[in-house]
Amino acid sequence: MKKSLFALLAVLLTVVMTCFVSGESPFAQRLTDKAGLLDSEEYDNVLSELDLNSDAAEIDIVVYTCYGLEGYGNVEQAATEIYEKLEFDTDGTMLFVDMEGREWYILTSGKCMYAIDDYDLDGISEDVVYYLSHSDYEKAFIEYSYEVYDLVLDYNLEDTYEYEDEGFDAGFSFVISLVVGLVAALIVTGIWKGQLKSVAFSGKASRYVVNNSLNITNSTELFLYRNVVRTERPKSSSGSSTTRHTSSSGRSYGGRGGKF
Amino acid sequence: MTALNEYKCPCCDGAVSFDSTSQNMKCPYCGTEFETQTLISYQQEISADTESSMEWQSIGSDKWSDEESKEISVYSCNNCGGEIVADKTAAATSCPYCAGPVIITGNVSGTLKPDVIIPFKIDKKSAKQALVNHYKGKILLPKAFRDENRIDEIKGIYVPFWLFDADADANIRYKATRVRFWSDSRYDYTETSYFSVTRQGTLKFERVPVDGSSKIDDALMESLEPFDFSQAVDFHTGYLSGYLADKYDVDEQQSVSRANERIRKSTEDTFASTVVGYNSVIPVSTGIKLENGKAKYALFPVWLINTKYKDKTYTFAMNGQSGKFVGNLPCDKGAYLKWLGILTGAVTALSFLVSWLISLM
Repeated sequence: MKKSLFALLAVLLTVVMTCFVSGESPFAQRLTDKAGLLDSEEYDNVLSELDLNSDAAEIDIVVYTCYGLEGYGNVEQAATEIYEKLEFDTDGTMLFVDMEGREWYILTSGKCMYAIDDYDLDGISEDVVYYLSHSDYEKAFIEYSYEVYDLVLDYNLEDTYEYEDEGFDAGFSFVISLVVGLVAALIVTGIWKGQLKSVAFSGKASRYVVNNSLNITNSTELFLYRNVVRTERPKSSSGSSTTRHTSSSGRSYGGRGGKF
Repeated sequence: MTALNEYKCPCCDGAVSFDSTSQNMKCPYCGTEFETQTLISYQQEISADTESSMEWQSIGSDKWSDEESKEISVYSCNNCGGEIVADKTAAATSCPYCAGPVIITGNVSGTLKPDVIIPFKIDKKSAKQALVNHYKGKILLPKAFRDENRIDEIKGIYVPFWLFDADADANIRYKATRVRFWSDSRYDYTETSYFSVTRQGTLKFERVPVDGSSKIDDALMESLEPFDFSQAVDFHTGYLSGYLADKYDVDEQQSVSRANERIRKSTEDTFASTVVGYNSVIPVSTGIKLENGKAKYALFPVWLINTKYKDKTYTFAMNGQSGKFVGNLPCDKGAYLKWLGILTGAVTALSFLVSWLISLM
């Protein structure tokens, strides 16, 4: 009994020491504020919102702030690699803020790539950047959390709706069947009516052309001008995604970044 | 003083001027730019357009000789004004057009004699059978019409035709387009290239038929085509024995407009078929000149029957050489609505059943 207790204590101590050394919890928290943008009360508020919204939306909504890009080449790469290193859910999103370069990046992963498209990222970033620019970091992170939560919830509902069995709508089916029946009947009776007509002008004299009598003495083909029409391709509604990139491990992510 | 040339825009017909910025000709109305040489060439093409000149050397046929005219009688119908000719031994008593009584009014002296005739190949029995077959399978044909059988009143008649030969010398200009599509991640592109295409050349026509009787519907006669001219023979009164012949009342001058129309359309189509590799080809200017135009007078064999149904006359005709049978039939409106209802109901029920079965899956 004593030996077991000692063994358990040793394991726990090892884990705590590891965390102390690395500064990271093995069960990474959804809020990492290395840049020290939040005081303790603000930190708790933001973390609580992130956890609440993440659980409700069944994804990981993460915020990570730091000074510098932690050894990575650019903000997109930093956000991607850190998200993977911290082993967050496949379905998730991260707001990465680099206070040294005053850069931000919103990373999307898994179903968040479809729930949050480029148009949505524009909307989120507009609000987040506003608050970041005004140094209202707590508001920026909470706003980010709520907007992501709303979008993913809508996406989840849409997904559920598509698979929900609506049952057989007899009225609608009857109307469609009637239209199909009428069109088919009109086609068939139209063919029968057409059989009654057999008299028509020939209109041409092709039969009376002397064989091989066509003699083209002059032919010209002159290019006049060219006209190019460009139409924007429609953005598909559900099933849209962000512009993609891949991590070092080969996984696909979406995202958008900028400066503030 | 040099003449000033005004160049027309091929796109909108506006006056084009030189644009010093692009160093090209530019239309101030539609904004399209052209290379200077392109416009010069286009202008030359337009000025080379010719008007159509479809004149015919009318060669009248020989007239009946005195001896021949003695063998032929002309019968007139007081009811519809139709004139038919038959040999003196014919017992023509009713008009083939309106079934009215006919009387001998004169002879053919002084009128044109046919150049050629295609003798009847199909006999009356086959003609009757063809009429019966024409009714078969017509679900919307009124039963009363089918039962009012005037099949014995079918008459063999030689219909007068004018046969036109000509060489068409054509100069046709077309507007042609070539379309290309491509896309990138954001846009779909449609590129349309416009071309001016000209074709000049000749095309020979022989024996373009136009019927010379105002009593017979032109559309009915054109529907009976073709007649195989290789079986035509020089006319002899003997061929009329047992048959009637319609006397022409539309002379060759009056028939040319129909011949011209058919020749013009066929020439445009034949020349257009040489313009390949384009998505659309539209004739813009057609100039056709006819050379060596001549007309012949011929008699072609037709089995004819007229019948009345609900105060409307229905005419059926059969090509007396090939056996082709034509004639518009009346439609039983009651049967039409009945079948429309039955088919609508049946297909509606079937589709409803299918949609219900799919919903169960």
